[in-house]
Parts: sequence; structure tokens; C-alpha cells
Amino acid sequence: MNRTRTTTAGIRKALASGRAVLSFTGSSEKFRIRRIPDSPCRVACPAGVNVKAYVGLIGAGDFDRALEVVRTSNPLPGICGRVCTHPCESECRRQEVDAPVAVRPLKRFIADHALKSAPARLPPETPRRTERIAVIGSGPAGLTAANDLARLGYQVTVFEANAQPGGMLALGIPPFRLPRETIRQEIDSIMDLGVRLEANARIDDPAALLGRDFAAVFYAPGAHRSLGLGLPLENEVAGVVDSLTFLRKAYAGDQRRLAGTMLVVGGGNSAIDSARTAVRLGARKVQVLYRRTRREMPAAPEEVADAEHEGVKFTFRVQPVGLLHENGRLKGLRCIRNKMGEPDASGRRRPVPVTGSEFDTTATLVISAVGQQPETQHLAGSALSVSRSGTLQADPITCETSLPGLFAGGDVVTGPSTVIDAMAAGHRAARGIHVRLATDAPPGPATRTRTADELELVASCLTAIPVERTRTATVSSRMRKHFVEVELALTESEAIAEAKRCLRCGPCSECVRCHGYCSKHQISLSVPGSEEDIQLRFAGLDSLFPDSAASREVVVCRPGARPIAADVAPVICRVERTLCRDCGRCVEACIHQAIKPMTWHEEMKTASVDPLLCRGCGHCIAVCPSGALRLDCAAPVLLLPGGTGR
Amino acid sequence: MSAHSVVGTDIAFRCNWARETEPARHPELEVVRVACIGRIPAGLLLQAIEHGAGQVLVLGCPENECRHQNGVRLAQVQVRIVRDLLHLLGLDPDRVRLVAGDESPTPRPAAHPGV
Amino acid sequence: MNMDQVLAETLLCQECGRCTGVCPVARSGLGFSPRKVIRQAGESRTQSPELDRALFTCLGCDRCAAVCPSGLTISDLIIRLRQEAYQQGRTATLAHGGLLQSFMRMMATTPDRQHRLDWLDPSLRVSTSGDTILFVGCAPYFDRVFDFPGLRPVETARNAVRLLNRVGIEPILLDDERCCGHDLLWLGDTGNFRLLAERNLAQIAVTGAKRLVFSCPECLRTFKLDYQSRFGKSSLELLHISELLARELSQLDPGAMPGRVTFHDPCRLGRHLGIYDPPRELLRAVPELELVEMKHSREQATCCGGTAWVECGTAVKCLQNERLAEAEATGAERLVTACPKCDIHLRCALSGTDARTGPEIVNMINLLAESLGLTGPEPLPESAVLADKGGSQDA
Repeated sequence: MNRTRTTTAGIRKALASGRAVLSFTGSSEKFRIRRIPDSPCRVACPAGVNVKAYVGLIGAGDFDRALEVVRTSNPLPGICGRVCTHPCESECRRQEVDAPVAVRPLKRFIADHALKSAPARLPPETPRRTERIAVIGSGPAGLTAANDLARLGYQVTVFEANAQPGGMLALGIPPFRLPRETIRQEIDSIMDLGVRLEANARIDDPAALLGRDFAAVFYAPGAHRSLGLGLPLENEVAGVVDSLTFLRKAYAGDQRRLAGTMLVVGGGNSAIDSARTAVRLGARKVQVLYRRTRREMPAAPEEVADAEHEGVKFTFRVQPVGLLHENGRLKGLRCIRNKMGEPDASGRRRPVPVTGSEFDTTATLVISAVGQQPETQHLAGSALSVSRSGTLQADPITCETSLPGLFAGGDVVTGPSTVIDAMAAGHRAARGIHVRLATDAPPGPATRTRTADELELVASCLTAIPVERTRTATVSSRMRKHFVEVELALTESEAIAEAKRCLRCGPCSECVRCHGYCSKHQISLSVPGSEEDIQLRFAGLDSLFPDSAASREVVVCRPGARPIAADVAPVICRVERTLCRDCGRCVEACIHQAIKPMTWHEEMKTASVDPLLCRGCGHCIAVCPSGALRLDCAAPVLLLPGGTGR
Repeated sequence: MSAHSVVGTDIAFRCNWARETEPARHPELEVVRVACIGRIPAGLLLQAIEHGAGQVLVLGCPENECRHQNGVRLAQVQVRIVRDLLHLLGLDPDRVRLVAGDESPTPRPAAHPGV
Repeated sequence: MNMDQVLAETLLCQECGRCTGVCPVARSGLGFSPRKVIRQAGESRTQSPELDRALFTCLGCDRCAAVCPSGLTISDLIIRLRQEAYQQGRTATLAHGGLLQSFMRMMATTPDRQHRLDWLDPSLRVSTSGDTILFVGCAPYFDRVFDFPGLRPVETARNAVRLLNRVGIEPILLDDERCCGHDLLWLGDTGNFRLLAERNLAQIAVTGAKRLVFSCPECLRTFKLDYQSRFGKSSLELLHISELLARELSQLDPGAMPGRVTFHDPCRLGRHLGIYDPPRELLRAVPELELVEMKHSREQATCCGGTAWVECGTAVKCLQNERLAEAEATGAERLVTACPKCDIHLRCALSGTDARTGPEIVNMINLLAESLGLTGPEPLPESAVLADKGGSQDA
């Protein structure tokens, strides 16, 4: 897959020189909407959420359908809408124009809509399977697998070691980022499908569940063992705590009000969460110490910005080398400064302590947030292979371990990772289990690895007018002292406006809204979810598109319903480059000045049609002596109700 | 347009905005819509005759009303070329006609000896 | 030759690549290679749109045949392959929207008599009997289709009659003469080619003429090589008008035309038929007219870019540009050609909006007529010729 990022200028240049052309789909009989490849956002999402479809549906005001689309791949939209690391936004092509579409806030918006709608139910046609599946761990991986398996008809029981479900969602992420209420509601909606939850049920021997009552086991306990700082007497001195312990106590209300200086060692989201929590617990001074520079911090930049807004200070290129203590109580931390050396295996520059640069700093509490490991010591010696860092080995596609019937996924396999990655693992495991157990498992959907061609992204980028990305509002600074949620939701009009910024890269997103809307011209969806094209049948290529000067809209009518204006791509002319004789007649003939000569071969020029200016009148075709100019469809048809869309 | 489909039929190429008079008058006309008649090359018109069309009409708007400015003028050139060639070939040039505007030319008999 | 013979011929290819080395289309650098076409078509017999395009890009100029050590006439092989392609409904992009092929096919099949002699005027002396037929060719048709400045195919036809009149010949003009079929044959449409040939031969036979004179080398080549190979040896002598006039030089007394010209050998006259000298003799007979040769002339002359109106694109334009550059390099004000096709194609190459503006193209027949003071009254305006025949429509 070509991952080269192309700028808008580069795209225009490529079009102009004829190295890129828009994708053509027309034929004389049928007009086909090409369904694949996919938009970059969808390919980027580990869980395969159909980003383009639900964003488009939000833009059209169809929130119910948008929610359906989201729920197909993401059973925890409210959670992801708050804490997902949004790889989709990183790939969003809107950033070529101004800034990526705010997909995460849009997902939260639609999840909030769900809370107002009816509780989730299994569709009546779900088969009732007799096999029972055990899911160990109620974090994002386990919950997703439970959701998928329940929807396939299996009897699912989730075992959770703690009193409250949610895994790292509840233990690690603070309420001011992810309200407990949201977690509870989303987990409830999965449980409503008939999933049983057993809390306070720690399972140390997952294999033992196999064969007894359960046909398959999905082991997803996460990674909850904090790594230490590696300092002498770390465990003996009071005032040193790991971030998970600190946060757990804080959320449970056990943590006393803090006084004095807090030092947080680390650079990930855990460190930031701890720092912001400490602020809310009254610490007057909270300082985050990170051994590399700001650029290398793994924490999300928006989190870091929020922390700084709340008064957290950051010190870079320092790391602790010893505890300063008296009578078994912490007094401070001895640190050393680093300089940045050569990159290590992760590609980040290795910090190298500078001898003689030690310094002391006072502190009443040191929170270590330097990473977690899975707790898998109890599995050493079993049939499962456990790595040195405690992670389990499982098949990357099916999630099955070396023990048949035992599946594993999430942080226990990968080490600490993101929520959406864990959810993707849940999907894979559910599918792996289903394929193993059922004889009627249909072949899976094609792996989406290709993004839409640069070609198809071209027209979108070129027509977009820069519109500032909607900023999500946050609570006032005063409210940031409490554990209420900091980020506010988008309003309905904000959400619709933001969704309309989507360029709709690539072809049809299978939202299937067009199906049934078009009576004059038949639209048939061949095989939903497959690689087939959606086909539109028309009388003739030319006759469909009146190149109205006013707009490129076509009115699509359904009997008895009001007409819906649809955004339809026009028929335009294009040049078959090797047939162009550089005679210039088309350039002269074009009244829209859409044709320019471009140098392409040994100073020879070829005509090149600007797809945005061409109105498809075809005068150039009539005057071209060599037949180099043809008429064809400019881009795949995008039929979205609700106006011009762009 | 396959050769088999046009023997004996009369064909009209019309643009999207041409007046409906001629096609309305002759419902047996096989109408092919285009965005502008300026895109009809002479070759297409002659091949229609070659493949057996009785008559070929090019229907457009009045010259000064063409949305694409000079579409009618371009069509005039192409139609002239085909009519000249038909004459050279010994065929009736009136088998290809341009109707641009409100004129309603004398109706022609639909049946025509094929080539 | 049938396909088996074609395949057997392709095995003779030594893969030396000399054909590609001299091929003017290959020189354009767009990937065409005669050697590749022969090999792909012959050995692997795969069909693909790319191979078809390559197959139809050959100009038939026969520069390759002149250097092939195996003696292969590659253009013959290519024609045969095109015939197979045509039968299977495969062809490449036709120029001018297929207009020319369309009227050529119609000439093969229409029962109606043409109106193809309207260009005659009373000053031109023609006859219905005699021993010389002037085969006019598609000039009246080209006249309606192309409007390059300075190109007037029917005027060339008139001048051809005037030149023949000057040497005492009142030629027979067939009033229902059909296209010789060269372009359709090269497209692979042997069916219609055959119809055209039969109709022409039938008309020629009833005249009782002994001599068939052509102003177009393509028509001449087609009659001499393609008709004779299929219908047997002609009882008429087949000549290019320059051959006939060169024999009658003593009767011609051209006036002075100071200037420098260069001569472009048409492929069909030169390499295909071996006729290089007669046009040059005629040009040298014009006083004060300096004839200089281009870098590639006679057997090495490069083609004007005529493709039988198929796949005419960038590669062809490239080689046309080269040819015109060669002509300009001689310092000649005018480039003389003895073929109406070369006349059209070279003018077309000059008609683009790219910068090249010269040299001026002139058909040898018109130049000679001018030097002899034979040019007639002012050429009639275009539409007047056919106005009262209903050609132009008052729309």
C-alpha cells in the first residue's frame, strides 16, 4: 500500500501532468459505484469501524443509522468517543485542507444519542447456540468479544477479578476523562444481550475452564502489574506509589487530600492521568518528570495540554536515581539530567545520563508511571508460552494460543496498548472462536488493507473550502478541580457541521441509504458487505447528467415522497494521452477553458482536461482528429441525501 | 449503438435542453441524449447512415441560446461535412439534418431504404 | 498469405532488432517495436489491447523491410495480423471519429452512383474514350473533410488533368470511381477492400484503356501490388503521374521559380515501388528551382506519419516533427511531396498550436502546374461547388 502523503498541490500537479486520472466507472449500459478500496479512516481503524459511513450519516442528520453503523464494529462508542487515540483522525485526508475531521467527538456525540434510544436487543433472527464461552476480563477486549459472541448466539459468561467491571477503563482512566456512568451504561448495553457477568471472580487457570463447562475461553486480563522505578528501597519507603494503585484509591474515594509536592515519573497517559488526579486531590505542586523530551512522550498531546492547563508542570530529560528519605518516609528524589543519544530499538533517542548533573528535589509523594506488565507469573510452566515481559503468545489472526480452545488477546498479548487495539483483538478472538466452533461460519470479510487510490482522493481535496475544525468545549477551570468530565459533547448542529467537513474519500461507504431511494433508476446492492459493486442502471451514459450550470445536483424521487437532491458526479472528458497530437484544437474549442497543454514526452505536449472545470459538453471530442478525447464518468457516484453535502 | 439496432429507424441526437417538438411529433424516433450537440462528430452521423438509419436528426437549441456558447455552430460544421459526403456518395443529403430552434421542418416519411 | 504462412514467416525473424533501429515510430520512444510485435504476435499469439494498439501503430513505411536480413516484409505480416484482428472485431482507435473509414466502406457498398466529378470545369479536357485513365482517388472526399490552409485536393485533381492536357493527353475519368481500398486494406477490412477492387476493375475493364495514371502513390501501390496479387496481372500499364510526365519532359517548358525546395519521398512511391527519380527529374527541370535533399531521402526517407487513419497520436506527431525539422534544416522554403496523403498529414502536423510553422508544403503536381502557368481561374469558394446540390444547409 502506497502510504506516501500527497499534498493538494502535488495532487493537482499529478492530475495536470496526466500522471493521475480520476477513476472512471461508466459504461454504456450500467453505471456502477465502485465499492472498494476504502477510505483511509476506515483502513486505519484497528476495529474496522466504518468511519466514513457514520460520519456521512451524521452529516445527513440520520443519527439512528449512524449509531447502527458504529455499533456494528464498536460496542463501546461512548468510551471510544472519549478516550480513543483516533488513528482514523491521523489518516484523515481533510488534514490536507485544514485539519482532520473530529471523528472522536462525533463518535461520542452519536453514543450520547444512543443513551436516549432503546436498549440494545439481540435481533430476533439470532441463532441460539448451545456452546458456552468464557471471557476472562471485562476490559475492552473482553467486552468486545462478549458482544460479538452474544450477537452470534453463544452463551457468554464474563469473569471479572475486581468488584467493578471495565478493566483498565475503570482502573486506569480517570472519571474526568471517562465518567463511571458511561462505563456502566455501555457495559450494561452489552449485558442486555444476555451476557452473564461474574464479578470478584479471579481466574488464574483459564485452561481449567475448558472442557468442563466452556467450549472456548478468551483470556483477556490486561496488563496491571506496574513496573517499578528500580530505585533502592523503593518498596520500603513510604510515599512511593505506582500509578495504578494511586488511581484506584483515588477513584474509590480512598485517597486522602494531598499536600505538598507530587512528582510523577513517566510520560504516558498513565502519568498524565495521575498528575491530573493529583491536582484534583489538592496537591499544590504537581510535576511530571520524563526522561526524554516532549516530542517523544507517548501521552496524547491533548492530554498533555489539558494537564498543563490545569497547572501541571513538566520537566524533561530527567530521571530519578535515588530516593531521599528519613525514618522511612520520603523526603525527596535525587535525579540526574539526560542528554539525548542515538535512537534505540523503538526509534526514539536513547537518554544518556550526564555524569555530575545530579540534583535533589523535594517531594511528599512520588508516583511511578513507567509502564505495566501482564500478571502472568502463574502461567509460567503451563503449556502456554510466556515471554520475558510477561506477554502471552497467540495467533495474530485467530487469537488462539498453543492450547486449542484457549484464546488470548488485548494487553496480555501485546503489552500495554490502546483501547481500540484491545477491541480489535476482541473482534478477532470472537471470530476465531466462531470459526472454530461453528460449521456455518461464513467466510470473513476481506481484510481492508488498501486505502482509496490517491486518484479518488484528488477531487475531494481540490473542492474543499477550508472550514475550521469544530473545537470541543471544556468545562470551566473551576470545574476542573473536581472529577467531573472535562470535555463537553458537541451540540447537534456542531456535529452536523463537523461531519460535513468530511471529504468522503474514496467511493461508496456502504451506508446503503441509497437503496430504496431511487425509483426512477434502479439501485441494487449486490451482496452487502462483499466486494461486489453496487449497480445503477441507466439508459445511457450521457443522458443521466444534465450539466446544470447551477450545480451538479440531480433530483432523485421516490413515489409518494418528497424529492431528495443528491450529489452526483458529472460526466467529463478525458484525454487518452498517447493519442494526443498536441494540435491544440481542443484547447481552442473548450469554452470553459478546462483544457490545457501539458508537457509530457520529449517536449511534446498533451492535452489535459481539468476535471473540475470540464462540463462534459464534448466540443473537444468533436474537434479532436485522433480520437484522443473521450467522455467518461468523472468520479464514482456519491449518492447521499440531504443536499450537496460538501 | 450497434449496427443491427438502427436499420430502418430514424435517429435523433438531441441535447438536454432542445425543444421537444420534433421528438414529440415523431414518437418512433430513437432519441440519443447528449449534453451538447457540439460534441456530435461527423463520423458518428455518417456511421448512423452507414448502419442503416433512415434519417439522422441533430436537435439543438437556437444558436444564440446554446448553453455551451458555440455548440450549435460546431454542429453546423459537422452536419455540413456529412451532407457534402452524402452528396458525393450519391445519397440524399437531407438524410442528415440539423434542427436548431423552433423550426419544424416538413415531416419525412419514416420508412427509408437502407443503405 | 494465410495465418500459417504468417507464423512460419515470423519464425524467420533473427531478432536482430535492425527493424526497430530504423523504425520511425520506435524512435519516438513510446515503446513501439516492430521486432516485439512480430515476436509477440507470432510466437505467443497472445492478444491484448496493448498488442492491438501496437499492431495498429505501424505506418507500413517499410523502412524495416529495407534492412531486414531475413527479407521479411514486416508490413505484410502486420496487414495479415490486422485482418485477423478485424475479423475478431478488434481494432484500435480510428481517427476523425471513423469518418473516413465510414465513407470508404459506403463507397464499397452503396448501389448509388456518386457525384464525384462536380469539380470539373469546362477548361479541363477529359474524354470518355482513349488509352489513358486518370485515377483521381479520394480527392473530392478529402476536400470536404479537411480544411488546412493551402490544401485544396480538388485543385490538385484539376492540375493533374491540366498537366496531362499539356502533354497532349485527354484522360478518361471514371465517373463512379471508388476508393482504391488502400486504407481499408491496411485496417484489415479485406471484405470491403475486395468489393472496392472489384467495382473499380469492372469499370476500368469496359473503357478499353491501356494506361492507368495515378496522382496518388497509395492508389498506385494498391493497384500494382495488392490488386495484382489477388486479381491477376493488370493488362494496363500502371504509372504514377510523375513517371508519365518525366517521360514527356521535352513537352514541358516550365517557367522560372526561384527558390529552394526539398523533396519528401512518399513511402508508397519510394520504398514500396522503387520510384525515386521521376519527381526529382521534374523538379530539376524547373529553372532556378534549387532542389536539396533532406538528411534522410530516397530509400532512407522517413514517413510522413500516415497511419491509414488509425491510432494517430503522440508517436506519429513526434516523427512528423522530426521530418519537418529535417526539411527546415535544408533551408528550403517549400517541402514538395508527390502524394496527396503526405500533403494532408504533413499539413496536419503543422496545423497545431505548437510553435512549428514551416516549411510550406506543396504537392509536386501543383508546383509544376504553377511553373507551367497552368493554374486555372480563382478556386471556387468551398460551398459554392455543392450549394445548389443541397450540400450546405441553411440552418
